[in-house]
Amino acid sequence: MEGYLNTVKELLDKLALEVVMLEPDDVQGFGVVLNRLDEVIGVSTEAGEASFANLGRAIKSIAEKLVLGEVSAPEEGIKQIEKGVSLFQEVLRDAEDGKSASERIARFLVECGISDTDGSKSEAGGSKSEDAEKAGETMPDIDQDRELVESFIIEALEHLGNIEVNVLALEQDPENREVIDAIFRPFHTIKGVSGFLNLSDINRLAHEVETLLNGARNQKLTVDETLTDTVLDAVDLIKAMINHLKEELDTGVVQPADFGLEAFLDRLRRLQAREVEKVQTETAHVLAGDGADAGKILIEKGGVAEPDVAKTLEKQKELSGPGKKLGELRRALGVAEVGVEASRFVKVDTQKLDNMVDMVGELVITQAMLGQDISGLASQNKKLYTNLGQLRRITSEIQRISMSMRMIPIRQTFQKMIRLVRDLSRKSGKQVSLEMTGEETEIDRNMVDEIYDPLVHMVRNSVDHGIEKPNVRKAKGKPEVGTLKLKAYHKGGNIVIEISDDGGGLDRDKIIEKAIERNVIRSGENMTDQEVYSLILQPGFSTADVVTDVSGRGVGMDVVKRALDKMRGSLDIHSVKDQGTTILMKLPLTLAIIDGVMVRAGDRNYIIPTVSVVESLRPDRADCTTVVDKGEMVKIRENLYPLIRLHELFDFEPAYYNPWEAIVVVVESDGRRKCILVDELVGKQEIVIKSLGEQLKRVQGMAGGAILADGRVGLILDVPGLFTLSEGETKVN
Amino acid sequence: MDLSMKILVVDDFATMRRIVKNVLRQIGFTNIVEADDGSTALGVLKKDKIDLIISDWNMPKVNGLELLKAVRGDESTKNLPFIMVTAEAQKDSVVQAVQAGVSNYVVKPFTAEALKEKLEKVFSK
Repeated sequence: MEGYLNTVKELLDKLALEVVMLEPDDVQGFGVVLNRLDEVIGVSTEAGEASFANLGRAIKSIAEKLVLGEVSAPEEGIKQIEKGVSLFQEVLRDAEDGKSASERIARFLVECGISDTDGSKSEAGGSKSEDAEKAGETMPDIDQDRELVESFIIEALEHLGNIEVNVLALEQDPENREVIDAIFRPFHTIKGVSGFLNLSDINRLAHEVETLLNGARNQKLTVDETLTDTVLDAVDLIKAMINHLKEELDTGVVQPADFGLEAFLDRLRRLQAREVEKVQTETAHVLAGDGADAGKILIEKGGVAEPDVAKTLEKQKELSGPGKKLGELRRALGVAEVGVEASRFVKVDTQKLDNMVDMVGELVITQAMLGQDISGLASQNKKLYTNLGQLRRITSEIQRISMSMRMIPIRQTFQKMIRLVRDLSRKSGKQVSLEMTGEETEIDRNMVDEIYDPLVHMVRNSVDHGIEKPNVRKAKGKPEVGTLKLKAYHKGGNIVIEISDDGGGLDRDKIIEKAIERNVIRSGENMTDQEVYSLILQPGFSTADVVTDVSGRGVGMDVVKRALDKMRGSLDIHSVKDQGTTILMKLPLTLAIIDGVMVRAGDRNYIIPTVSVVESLRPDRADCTTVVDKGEMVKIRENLYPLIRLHELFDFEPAYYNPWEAIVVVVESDGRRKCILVDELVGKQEIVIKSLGEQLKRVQGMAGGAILADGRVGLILDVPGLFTLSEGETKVN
Repeated sequence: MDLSMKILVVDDFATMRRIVKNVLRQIGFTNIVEADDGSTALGVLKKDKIDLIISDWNMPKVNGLELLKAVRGDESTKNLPFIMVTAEAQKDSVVQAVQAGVSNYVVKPFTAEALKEKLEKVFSK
C-alpha cells in the first residue's frame, strides 16, 4: 500500500503540473495528460485500488470529451480536471491517514455526470452533423471540381472491384478479420472522399455499410450469406451511382435518378439490428458451450422464442455450408493478399501513354530511316557505325519499355468473373468451382475493355449451357460440382486465354441440324468437328434448348467472334461430348503494333497483317481459271480460291496483270480463304498502326496507315473488309 | 505561420490527397509533397526535411497511428507537427492519436478555414 501511495503521489504531482499548463486547444498537452492518467489508472488497478482507478477514469473521460470537442465550455472542463486532480491528491492523503475516500469520489463522479455516457454520445452526434453542414456550404460542387470527381470515379471503381474480391474471400473465411478490414477500409475512404465532393447519396450509403462492417469487425454481427449478399448489393448500388455520376459528367446533364437508396438503407439498418440476435447466441454459447443445448436453455428461461433459436442455428449451419464450394476459388486467387497489398503506382492518363507509344513508334521508324540514309557513310566511318548501332539498341529498348508501360496483368478482368460465376451458378442452381491460372499474364491496357465482353459471354455460356445441373452430372458419373477453368498465358507472341469447362460439350448433331435449318450449310457430311464447331460463330446461332434469363436470347458466339476479329485475334473451339468444351482465344500482344507483310502493287505499298496471311506463291498459268458466276479463281493444291485484284478495287496501274507473272498472297478470314494479287513481296515489319482520321474512317478494306522504314506511307489492308468489298464488286476511288 | 513550409500529405486514396492539397493551397501553402502510405511517408521523412505531416488514419500496411508512433519514436522527428485526418470524431481513434502525441486532428470533410484554424493552434505554441 505504501509503495503504491508513493508512486501515485509522484504521478499526481507531475499530472497536476501538466494540467496547470493545459489550454483548451493544446491537443498535444492533452495527450500528455491522458497518458499520465493511464499510468495512474494502471498502477491503481494493479494495486487493487478500484475506487482510485475509477477516479482516474473519471478525470480521463473529462479530458477525452475536451479533446473530442464535446464540451461547450472548455475552460470549465479544464477546471473540472484540476478539481479532480486535487481531489485525488486529497483522497490520497486521507488514505495515508486511514480514512476511506470512496464517498467523496462517488460524489465527484455524480457531479461530473460521467456515468452518463449516452448523453455524451448524442451530444457528439449533434455537433458532428453540424460540422458536416457547415462544411457542406463551402464545398465545391461538381462543376467546379470536375477533375476531382473524375479521379474519384476511377479510384472508387477500382476500390469497389477489390471489395468484391474480398467479400467473396470473406464468404469463404468469415472469421478473417484482415479480410473484413480490407473491405471496411475502402468503404471508409469512399465515404470520406464522397463527403468532400458533396456526393451525399454515396456518402450515406458508404457510411451505413461501414457501420454494418464495423459490427462484423467487432464481432457483434455474424458474417453470413445475408451479410455478404448485402455488401455485394451495396457495391453494385454504389457502382450504379458512380456510373450515373460519370454519365452526368460526360453529358453535362444532371438527371436525378432513383436508385432505391432509402429502401436499401433500411435493409442495411435492419441487418445491423441483428446485432441483438448475435448477442443472444453468444450468451447461449457461454451458458452451455453447445449451440443446440444453449438454445434449449434460453427457451426454458423464456429469454428467446423457439423460432429465433432455430433460425440462429440454421444460420450457423449455413455458415459452414456454402463456404466449401468457393474454397478452391479463393486459393486459386490468393485473394487475401490481393486486397491487403497496397499498390505503388503513378497514375497516368492512358491518352498520354498512347501518345508516347505513338511517338516512340515514330522514333523507331525515323531511326530506321536514318540508318538507311547514311548506311553508305557508316560503312566507311567506324565511329558512326558504332553510334548508329547504339542508337538502334536504345531505340528498340525504349520501344519495349514504352509498350510494357501499357501492359497490365489480366488479374482484374479475371477477378470480375468470380462474382459472375457465383451469381450465375446460384441463379441456375448449378455448382461451379472456378479455377484460375496465369492472372499475372500481362495484356495491353487498351485490350482490357475489349476482352471483357467476350469473356463474360463465354463464361456465361459455360455455366449456363456447358456445365450440367448436379443431378444430371451425377447420372453421368461426374462430380456434382462442375469446374470452370480460366487460363491466360503467352505463346508465340500471342496472348492465349483459355476457357474450359467439364460440362456436356458441344452437340455435333444438334449444331448440324440447326445449321441446315438456318441454311448455313446443306449437309453435315464430310465436315470435321472443328468445322462444325465453328458454325456456332455464325450470327444468330444458338444451340441452347431453353432461352434462359442469363444467356441465350439469340445473341451467341458471333458477338465473341466479332469482338475478337476487331482485335485481330482468333478463336479455337475444342469439345468432347460429356467431357466439356475448351475455347482458346488468341490475341495479339498489343493493339498498337502489328506484324505485317509488306507488299507492293503498282506504285503502292500495302501491309497485310501477318495473322491473316496463310502463304504466298506464284501460281502456274494452268491453275488460273475463271469460274462462271464466281469470277477468277486460283487453284492451289486442289482447292480453288477466289482472286482479289487490288488494282481493280483501288483503281491503279499494276506492274503485272497476270497472276502467273505476279505473286498471290493467300489470306484467311472467318475460315474462308482468298488470294490477293500483288506485284512483289517487300518484307516483314513490325508496324505502328495509325488511324486514318475521320474522313477516311469509312473507307472499306483499310484498317489504318503506317509509316514505313523508307519513310513512305503504307496502308494496312483490312482482310475481312476486303472480302466484303470484293464480293460487292464496288469500286473505291 | 510560414506559408513556405514543406508539408507531407499522406493518404492511400489519390483523390483525397488532391483534395487535401487543394485545401492547403487555398490557405496559401505551396510546398506540398505526397505519400500514398505510412511506409512511403517514412521513406520521404528520411530523405526530405518536412515541416508538417497531414496524414489520414485509415490506410493499408502502415496506418496513420502507426506512422505517428514511428514519427514520435524517432529522435529527429519527434517534435514534428502532425495532423491526423479522421472520417468522423470517433472517440477511440482520436483519443489513441492524442495519446500517441498527435499535434491536432481534423474531421472529414473539412474546410480550408477549419484546417487553417487547427494549424494556427499548432504553430502558435
